[in-house]
Amino acid sequence: MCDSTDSQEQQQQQEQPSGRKRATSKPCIKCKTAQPSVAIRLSVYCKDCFVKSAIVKFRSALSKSRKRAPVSRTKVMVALSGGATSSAMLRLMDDYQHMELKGAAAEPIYAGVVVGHVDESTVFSGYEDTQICAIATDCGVDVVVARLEDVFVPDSDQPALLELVHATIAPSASRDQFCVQLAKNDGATPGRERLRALFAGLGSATDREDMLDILKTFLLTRLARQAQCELLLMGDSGTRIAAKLVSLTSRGRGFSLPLEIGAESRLAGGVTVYRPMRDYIMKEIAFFNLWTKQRSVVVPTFTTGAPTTASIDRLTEAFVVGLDRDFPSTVSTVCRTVQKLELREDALDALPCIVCNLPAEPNAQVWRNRLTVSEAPNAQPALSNASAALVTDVKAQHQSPFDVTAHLCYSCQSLLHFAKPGLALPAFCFETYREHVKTAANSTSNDWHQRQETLRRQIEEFLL
Amino acid sequence: MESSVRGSDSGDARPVAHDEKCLTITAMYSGGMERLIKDEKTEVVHKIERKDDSTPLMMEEFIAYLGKTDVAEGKQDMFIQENSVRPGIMVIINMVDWEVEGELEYELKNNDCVEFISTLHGG
Amino acid sequence: MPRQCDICHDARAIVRRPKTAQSICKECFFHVFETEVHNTIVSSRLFQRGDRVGIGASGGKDSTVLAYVMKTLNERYNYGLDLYLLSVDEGIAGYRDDSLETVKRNKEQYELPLLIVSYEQLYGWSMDSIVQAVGRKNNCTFCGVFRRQALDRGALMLDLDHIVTGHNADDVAETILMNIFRGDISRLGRCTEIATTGDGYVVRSKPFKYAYEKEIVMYAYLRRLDYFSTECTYSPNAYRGYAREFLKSLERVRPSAILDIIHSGEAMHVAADVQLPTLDRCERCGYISSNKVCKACVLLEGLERGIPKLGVSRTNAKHIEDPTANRAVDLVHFETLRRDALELRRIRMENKQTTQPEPDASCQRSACSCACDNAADCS
Repeated sequence: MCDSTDSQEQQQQQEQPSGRKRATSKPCIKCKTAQPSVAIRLSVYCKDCFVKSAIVKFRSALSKSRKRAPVSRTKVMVALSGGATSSAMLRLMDDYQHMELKGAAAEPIYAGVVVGHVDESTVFSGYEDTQICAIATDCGVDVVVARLEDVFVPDSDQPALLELVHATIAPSASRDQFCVQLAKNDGATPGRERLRALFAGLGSATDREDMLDILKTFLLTRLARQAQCELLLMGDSGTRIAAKLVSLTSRGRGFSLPLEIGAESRLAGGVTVYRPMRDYIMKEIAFFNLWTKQRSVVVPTFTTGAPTTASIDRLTEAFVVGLDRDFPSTVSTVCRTVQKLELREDALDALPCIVCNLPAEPNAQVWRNRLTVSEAPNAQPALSNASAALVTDVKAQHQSPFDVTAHLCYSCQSLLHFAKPGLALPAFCFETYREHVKTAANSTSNDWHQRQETLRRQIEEFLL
Repeated sequence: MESSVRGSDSGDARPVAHDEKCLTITAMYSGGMERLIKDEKTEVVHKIERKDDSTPLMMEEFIAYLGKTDVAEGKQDMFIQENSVRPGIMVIINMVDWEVEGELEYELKNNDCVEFISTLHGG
Repeated sequence: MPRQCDICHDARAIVRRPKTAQSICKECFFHVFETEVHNTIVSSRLFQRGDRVGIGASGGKDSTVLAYVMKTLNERYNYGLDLYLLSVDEGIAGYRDDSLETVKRNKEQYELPLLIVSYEQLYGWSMDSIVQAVGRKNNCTFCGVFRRQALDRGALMLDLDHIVTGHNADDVAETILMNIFRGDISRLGRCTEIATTGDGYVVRSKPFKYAYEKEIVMYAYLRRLDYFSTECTYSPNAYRGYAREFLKSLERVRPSAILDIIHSGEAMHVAADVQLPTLDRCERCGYISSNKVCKACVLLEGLERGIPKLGVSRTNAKHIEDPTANRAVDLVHFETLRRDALELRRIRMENKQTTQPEPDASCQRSACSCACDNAADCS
């Protein structure tokens, strides 16, 4: 049934795709004199005015963020992947620090700038880390590097990893069940190998890209904490944020997405993230780098050079960029939508998912099960016995696997559903789980306490 | 329309005239675009002879031509979509945004330099 | 080798469910499909016993299956609802005539009373005459706005408590995407609600919110239901077209994307400081509107004064004199409709009281969708 109730007039103007362009005869929209060299959305700019307004835009984005989510006069970590946006961001941040010095205020706003970089060479060949470090030293800024495989480095003196035993989403089981078991992490298997096995064990390019994002965010946040930076700048352009809103929505990550793409996010461990590049579309960044001679590299990912159907991220990127071509304010409209979303109340209190560290919606399993009936009309409890039997069988071979379904968010449940059994999750997954158990142990609910006690006994040797 | 991919030959200096029958145009590829080009070249100089020098060479035609000449086998649809470049690929003519110059309607001149920069994360 | 049903392990599997990829037999398919809709109805507490419910019937597959399933579930689980078919005649020659014939057949087949309201009768303009006046651009704006009001008008004429429409999971996912692309934050916040109250006078809900479009088609096909399956003659909205195309591509990469999008949409929360439009009443016809004059009245204004772009693009109507001067049909004010509906209700209550009602002991706990939180109250 056709049910369009478009009533905004603005939409009417935009409903028809923009036609082919003609050469412009207008001068730069800012200085009104010079010949324009670039068209952004529907305005034209000359080179000088363009670069100047790019700088002003960065500063105003930072000051808006400072008002909404203030941090103390701290060191700033700039997350640098070496790609066009983060390189531009570093340049702009460096310029900002120096600009403040010349101004009325005697001291710069931030105590210092440090670059944080995640080295992905274990997973991607053709990785140019020397060039990336050169981009940082060009600005005279120190670099701290974490390697992707560091997520498997044991963090405490009794380290363990969670290994996937069995994952299923109804209908093949009477209820969702994600069982893991403990594996020792004594460094016998090199982190590099574990990392490759992690990606190889995931079910699709979409899941791999999701995991890569999770690992990088974790490592960058840790780097920031270790360098005493309360503030972390992430280089997500407006184009990227718009595509990510669609992509995260499509993957069921609506519950936590304000933390992943919002202008400011306060993460656990005292690190605040700003995204000051959110008002730039990719074209602006490319021209900024071109005219300021800012170096950058092409950052590889799992689907580089692959067709658009290779992963959800590729599909949404192609789609948003294509839509933006026909309706030039798409990216900025979608970005404005992002700014109007915030975490729901129950997301503020929710425990983090042990895989992605983002708030896990409390009833993901119930929601899914409610919508999907997969049993015959007179379903026997035999089905639930079957799944209990499964756990018992597994018990016989390994030592006490346990159910972590309640500790996973909706999207990570899908991720694990398609993963291969035997998949070993990064060390922080176990650390987070241990925290949950400790927190729970302090709860006053008796029944629940007893259940937690059972679990606790299973992992006792690993509790500090 | 014939062309040959030859390096620019300094000994071959011909006077630059507006209605020159042979157009020398440099195509540059970066931002990951080079991966789509034969031999992953980042720069290709084209010498294009116009049989009929009264019809200008438009960007639209030039792009189609590059799709056949420079782009590696099987990668055309990563470069071209319909009659233009794929969304996400920026086109810069002599350091100026092609949108300012009329996009597909721009008429190429001798010694023009056209850069293609991909802004897509997936290359 | 014929495959056995994944659920009953007895009959031969004849269909692969898009939602779960199970291969199941016909009877099991009917069971899971119907039970899922029943779960949606019960867990969302959509109805109360005695509710008069209008099924928005277009003659298409969604509404035909909806009518069939509502009737089936009403009987099987004894919801105690009074069901009606409510159909809107937009006045599109060819397309609408055929689909209305289908609805009339549905009336006979399902034995449900039918009310048809037409744009012509309500507003004095059919879609065909509108297209003649404004051309093929923007006609979807007219149709969408008029239909919404038409359903509410029809519902009041019958004194209904509730309207159900056949919007399915694909529709909801598409709407979420479309509202994201358009930056329509207020609609984005509301479009995942299964039932909307106070939006008009009658509660409106979508029992098929979690049902895949493909499964609805399968159901209609396997049950051999009578429906009309041609696209509207006039073209769809550009943005929805993009959203639909994107959703189809997405489904190929990840089939669960439809439900994942709905899950995300339900979890999204609009920031407290965002200005949302306040709802008011149209000063001409009394319909719910965020402006002084509702969209339908503005559009009608434009049609009648020969300014077809009024309310569609940024044309300003200066000096609006008596807007009803050239009106072909007098729009019935919503307060009048409401008053009449209340009167109908009063008469019905009186008639009920003259006959002693039997105590109703048939409320089965599992099916109880009324507001009793304590299950013990329901035995």
